[in-house]
Amino acid sequence: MKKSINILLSSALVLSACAPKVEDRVFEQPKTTFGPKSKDTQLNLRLREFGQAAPTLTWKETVSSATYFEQAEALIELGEKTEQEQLKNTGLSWIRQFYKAPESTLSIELAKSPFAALATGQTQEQVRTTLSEVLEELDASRPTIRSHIMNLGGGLPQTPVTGLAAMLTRAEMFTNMVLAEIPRMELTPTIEDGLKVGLIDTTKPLFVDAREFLQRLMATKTLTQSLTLIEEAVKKFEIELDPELQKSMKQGRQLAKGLDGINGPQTSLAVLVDIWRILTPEERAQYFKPVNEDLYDFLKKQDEKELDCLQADGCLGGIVNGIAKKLFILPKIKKYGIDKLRTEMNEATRGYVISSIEAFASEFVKTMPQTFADNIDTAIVDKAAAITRVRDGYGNYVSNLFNVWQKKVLPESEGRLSGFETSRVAVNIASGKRFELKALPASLNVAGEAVGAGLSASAELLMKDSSLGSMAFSHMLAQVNKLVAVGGYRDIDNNLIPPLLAPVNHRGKLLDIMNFDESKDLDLSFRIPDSLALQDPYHADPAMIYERDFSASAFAAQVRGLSRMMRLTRDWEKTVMDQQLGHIMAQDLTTDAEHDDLKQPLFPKDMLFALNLGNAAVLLQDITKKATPVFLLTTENNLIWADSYGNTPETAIMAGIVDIKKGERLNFVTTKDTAQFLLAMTEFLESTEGVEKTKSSILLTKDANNEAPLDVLQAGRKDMKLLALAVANFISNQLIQDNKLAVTQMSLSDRKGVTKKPFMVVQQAYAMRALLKAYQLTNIDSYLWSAQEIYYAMNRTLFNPKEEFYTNSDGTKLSFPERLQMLLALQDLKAHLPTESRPQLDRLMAPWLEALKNLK
Amino acid sequence: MNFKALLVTFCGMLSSICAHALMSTSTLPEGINSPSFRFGIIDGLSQKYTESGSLMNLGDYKSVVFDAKNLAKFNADAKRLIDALNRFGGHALGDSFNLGVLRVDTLPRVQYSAPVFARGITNRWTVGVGVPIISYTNKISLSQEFSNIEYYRQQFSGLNPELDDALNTDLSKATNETLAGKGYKALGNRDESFVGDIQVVSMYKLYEKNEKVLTYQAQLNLPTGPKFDPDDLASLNVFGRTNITNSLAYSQYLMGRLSMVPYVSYLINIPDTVTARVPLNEDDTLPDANTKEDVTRTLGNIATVGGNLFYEMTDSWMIGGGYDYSTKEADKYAGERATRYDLLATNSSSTAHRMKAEITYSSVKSYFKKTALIPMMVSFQVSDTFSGVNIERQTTQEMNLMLFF
Repeated sequence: MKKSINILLSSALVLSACAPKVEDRVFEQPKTTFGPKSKDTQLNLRLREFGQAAPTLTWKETVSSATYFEQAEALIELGEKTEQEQLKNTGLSWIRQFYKAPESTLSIELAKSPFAALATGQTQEQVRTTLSEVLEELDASRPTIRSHIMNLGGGLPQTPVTGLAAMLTRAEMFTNMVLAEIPRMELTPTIEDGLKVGLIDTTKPLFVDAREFLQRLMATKTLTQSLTLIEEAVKKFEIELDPELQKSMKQGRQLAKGLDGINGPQTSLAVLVDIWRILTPEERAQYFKPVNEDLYDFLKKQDEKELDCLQADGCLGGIVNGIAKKLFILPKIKKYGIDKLRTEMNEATRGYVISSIEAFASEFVKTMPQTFADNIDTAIVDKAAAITRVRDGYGNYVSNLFNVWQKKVLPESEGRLSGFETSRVAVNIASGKRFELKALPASLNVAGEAVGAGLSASAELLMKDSSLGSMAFSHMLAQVNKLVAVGGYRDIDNNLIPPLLAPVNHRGKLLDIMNFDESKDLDLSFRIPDSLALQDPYHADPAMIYERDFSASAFAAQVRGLSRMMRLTRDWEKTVMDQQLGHIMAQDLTTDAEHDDLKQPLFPKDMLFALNLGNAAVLLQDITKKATPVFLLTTENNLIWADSYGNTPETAIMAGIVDIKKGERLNFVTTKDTAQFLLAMTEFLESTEGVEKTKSSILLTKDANNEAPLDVLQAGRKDMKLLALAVANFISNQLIQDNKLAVTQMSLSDRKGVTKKPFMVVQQAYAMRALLKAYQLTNIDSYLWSAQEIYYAMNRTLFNPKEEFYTNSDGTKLSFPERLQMLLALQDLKAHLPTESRPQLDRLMAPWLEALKNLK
Repeated sequence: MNFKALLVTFCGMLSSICAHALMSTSTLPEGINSPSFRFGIIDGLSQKYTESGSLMNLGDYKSVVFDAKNLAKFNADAKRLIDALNRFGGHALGDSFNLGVLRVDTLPRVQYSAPVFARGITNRWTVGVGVPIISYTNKISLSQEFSNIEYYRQQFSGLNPELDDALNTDLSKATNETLAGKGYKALGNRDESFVGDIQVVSMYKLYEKNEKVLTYQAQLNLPTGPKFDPDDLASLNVFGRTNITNSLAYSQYLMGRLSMVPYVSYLINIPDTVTARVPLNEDDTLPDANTKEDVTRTLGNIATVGGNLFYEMTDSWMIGGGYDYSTKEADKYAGERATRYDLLATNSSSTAHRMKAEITYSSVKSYFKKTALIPMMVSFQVSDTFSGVNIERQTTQEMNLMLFF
C-alpha cells in the first residue's frame, strides 16, 4: 500500500516536473528620463590676456524709439541679473536721457491733459446733479429756517439785560438755541450739517473775540484807548460803519486827540468846547449843567465864532467874554486841576462811548431773532449763488482749478506735461565716449510700438530710478495721462474723445471704453496703429488718420507696456504711484470749498488700475475677434484663426501671430514676433498675479448674470496661460528646425521656413528668452530643452572664434542691439544650463559684459 | 470482472474539464448497474501554453501594454492625446507616453462533482449517463504598473480638464468603465455553480480474445451547460456544446500483471449558433455591444492518440500511467454581416501533451471472496498538460467512487 502511494506521488511529481517552467513576460520599461536631444560643444574661445581691453561697442544709427527703449530695458535687466549695478544705471540713464532730450516728446498744459478732461467729464454730471439738488434744498429750506429762528425769539428771557457782558451772554444763549433748533427744522442732512457748521464756525470765534474785546474795553482808561480798541474791533469783525457812525468816530477821534493834548487851562477849555459842540442841547444839559452850571450857562450863550475864540489860545473875543475867559474860566479850570479835569473828561467820554455801544447792543438783543434770520438767509442766498456759478460753469471751474494747481505742482515746466514719445531717435553711443541722443523732431504722430515701449520704459524708470527727483512726479502724471489717452474718454459735453486704440478693420465706431461691454462685439477690433496722427501730444486726431497697419511687434509692445504699467497701478499693493500721486486729494485743487467729497484721492488708484487693465483687455480681447492676428494650429495640423476656434471640433495646440498690413493679415510669421508676443503675455500674467485682491469697484461689481469683470479676467488669465503655452509649442515644435535653430521667417502656407532668410542670432535670442519664460510659466521641461538646444546649436554652427561671439548664418556681424539681446538671452539661460556648460558661457560673456560697462 | 475497466468506463464523462482517467477497454457485465460519484479539482488554468508553446501565467499573457502605439490603436481620443503631446514642445513626448501595463491577474479554479450511472446492457455493451455539477471560482484583479504617467502628470497637469482626466487614468478603473460602457460584465471575482454538459456514453467491445480487447466508445456531449456568453470575459465558455467523441481502444497484457491500452479518439463538434461580438479588426480587442451577432460556430475537431500502462500490484491495488497527444483544429465562425469572423477564431487551434497517473483500490475481488461487504472501487487520478500550444495548463486531481450491484 505504502509502495503504491509512493509510486503515485512520485508519478504526480514526475508529471509536474515534465511541464516547462512558467516564463515571466518581460515588459519593456517605459521611458522616464527625458532631456534635450543635443549637447553642448566646446568652443574655440581664445584665452584673453590679463588686462586686455574689453571689445569696443558702437551703436550709431537712427532707430525707432521702441528699439532704443528695448535696449535700455535690456541693460537694466542684464544689470540686475548679473548684479552689475553699473549696467542697470546705464539703462536707467538712457531712458532718463530720452525724456530729457529736446523734442523727444511734445508737451501740453496739465489743465488741458486727458486726465483733467476725464476728471471733469466724469465728475460733472454727478456734481451738477448734486449741486442742483442742493440748490433746490437750499431754496426750500429758507422759509423753514427763518420761521424756526423767529419763533425762538419768544423763548428768550423777557427781562431786559443791562451791561455788555450780559448782552453777550444773551446772544450766545440765542445762538445755542438756534443750534439746538436746527435738528428740529427737518432739513436735509447736507443743509442741516452746513447750517450747523456754518453757524458754529461763524459765531464761536466771534463770541470768543467779543468777550476778549469786552474785557479790554472795560480795562481802558482813556478815550483814545477805547476808540483804538473799537477801531480794531470794527476791522476784525468786519463791521461796516454807516456815515453817521463814521462821523461820530471821526469826532470821537478828534476829541480823544484833544484830551490827550491837554496841558493847561486853555487846551482844557478847547476840549470842553469840542465836547460842547459834539453834544446835542439835551446832552449838554445832561452832562455840563450838573457839573458846572456857570460854565453851561456861559457856553450856552456863545455862538460858533465865540466858541472858536474860546478854543484859540490868546483870543479873548469881546470884553465880556475876554474877561470871563481870562478871569473866570481859565483860572477856574486851573484851579480845578488840569489832570483831574482830563481824567474826568476821559472817564466821561469813555462812559459815553460804552453807553453808546450798550445802546447799540441793547437794540441788537431786541432784534436778535430777526438779525439771525436775516443773516442766515443772506448766507444761504450767497451760498446758492456760489453753487450756481460752479454748476453752470463746471468745466471752467475745474479747468481754473487745474490751471492754478499745475503751476503749483509743476513749477519747473510751468505746468506742462510730456506727451507721447517721438517715433525715432538718432543714437551715437560708443565705448568710453559721450552719450549722444537726438530725438527726431516729434511730429504730431505716434507709433503704436513706441507707445507700448514708452509705457514699459517709463514703468521701469519710475520703479527703479531713485534719482528721478521731481521728474518722478511729472513722469508719473504723464503716464496716467497716457493711459487715459490710449483708451479714450468722454469729455464734459459727453463727446467721445477718440482713443489711440483705433478700429482695425471697421470704420466709424470708436472704442468707448467706459461702455466696455460694447467693445466685446466680435466685429470691432481696436489696436494702436503702427502710425497714428495726433491732435496734440496726447489726443488722437479726431479724423483718425492712419493706415490700417497693425504689426505684431507693436501689438506685443502695447500688451507688454500696458502690463508693465500695471505693476505701478495695481491697487492691492503699495507702488511708486502711491508715493507720487497717492497723497494728492481732490481737495488739494481748491480751497474755495471744503467738502468731504473732495477729501478723496484725485488719482484713485483702483480706478486707474481698472482703466489700465481695461486698455490691456481691449487688446487681448482682439485675439478672439474677427480681425485677430493670432492663428492656431490644431492637432490635425490645420491652421485656423483664433476667432473661429469655438467653431471647430479640433483641438488647437499651437499658436502664433502675424502682421496686419493695409487691413490684411500677412501669410508669414517670424520668430521674433512670436517670441515677443509670448513675452508680452507672460508679462500680463505676472502683472495681474494677485488681482483677486483688487478693491476696484469697477472690477468687482457683478452684472445681471452675477458675473464681475474680475471673474472674466480670472478666466481670461487661464486662457492666456494656455495661449502662451500654445505659442511656446509653435516656437519649439515648428519654428525650430532640424538643426535646432529657430527659423527667421516661416510661411503659413506650407509651414516651412523661408530658406532665403539666414538664421539670425537675434531670432535665437528671442526664441530662447520666450521658451525660458514659457518654461517658468508652465514648468514644462520641453521648452527648457528647446532653449538649451538652440544654445548648443548656436555653439555648433554660429560661433565665430575671430569675433569671439556669434555671427548670423550668412556670416554677417551682429549690430549692437542684436548683441545685447543675445547677451540677455544667454544670461537668462545660464542658470538653466548643466553645471559643466556654465564656465564656458561665462568666459564667452565676460568680455562683452565688460564692454557694456564702458558705455555711458 | 476486470475492475480496471470500470475505472475508465466514463473516462471522458466530463468532457473538457474532466480529469482524463486512463482509457481502458472493460465494460460492465450484463445487468450490472454501477452508480458512481466523481469529485475533481482542476488547477493550472491560470497558466497557458501560448502560441509559441511557452508556458506563461495567464496574468502575464492577458496583460496589455498601453504604450503610445497601443493607445493610439485603442481609440481616437487616445490618439488625439498622443498627437497633442507630440506637439507640446519639440521632443515628441507623445510617442514616449506610456500608461503602463494593465495586469489581469486571474486565479481560476474549477471543482466538479458528477453523479454517474452506468449499466451493462450486454456483456459487450455498456451505456451510462453523467450529470456534472460545476463549481467555478476565479479571483480576478486588475493592476497597473510600469507607467511613466507620473512624469506627464507633473508636466501637464492643470492645463486642461480633459488632459487632466487623461493623465489621471486608472487603468483598472478605466477598464471596468470601458467594459461597462461596452456592455460587458464587470471583471470581478467569481464564485458560481451550475450544471455542466450532460454526457451519454456507449461502449461496445468489438473484439475480445485471450485478454486482448478492442472497444469502440461513443460519447455524446449534450449542450445542457451555460451558453456562450459574449458579455462575460471571465466566463469559462466551454459548456453548451454538442459533440461526439469516437474512440477506439485496445488492451493487451504485456507481461504478468502489466497491461497496455493504446487508443485513438476523434471529437467531432456539431456546429451551433451562438451570439458573439465580432471584432472589427485585429486591434478591436473589446468589440462594442453593437458588434453582437448570431454567428454559426464550428468548433475545431479534436484528434487524440495515446496509450496507458496498468500494473496490478495486488487483487485490490492497481496503479496506472498514461500519455496522450491531442490536436485541435481551428474554430470557424460565419455570419451574415461579412465582417471579420475569422478574428473570433484567432489562436483557436491547439495541441496538448498530457500525462496521467492513477491509483485504484477495488473490493470487487474481495467481495467475491466474501471478504468485503460491498463491491466497490475508489480511485485517485492526477493529470497534467506538460506541453502544448494555445491551451491552458490543466492540473487535475480526481477522486472516483464506484459501486456495483
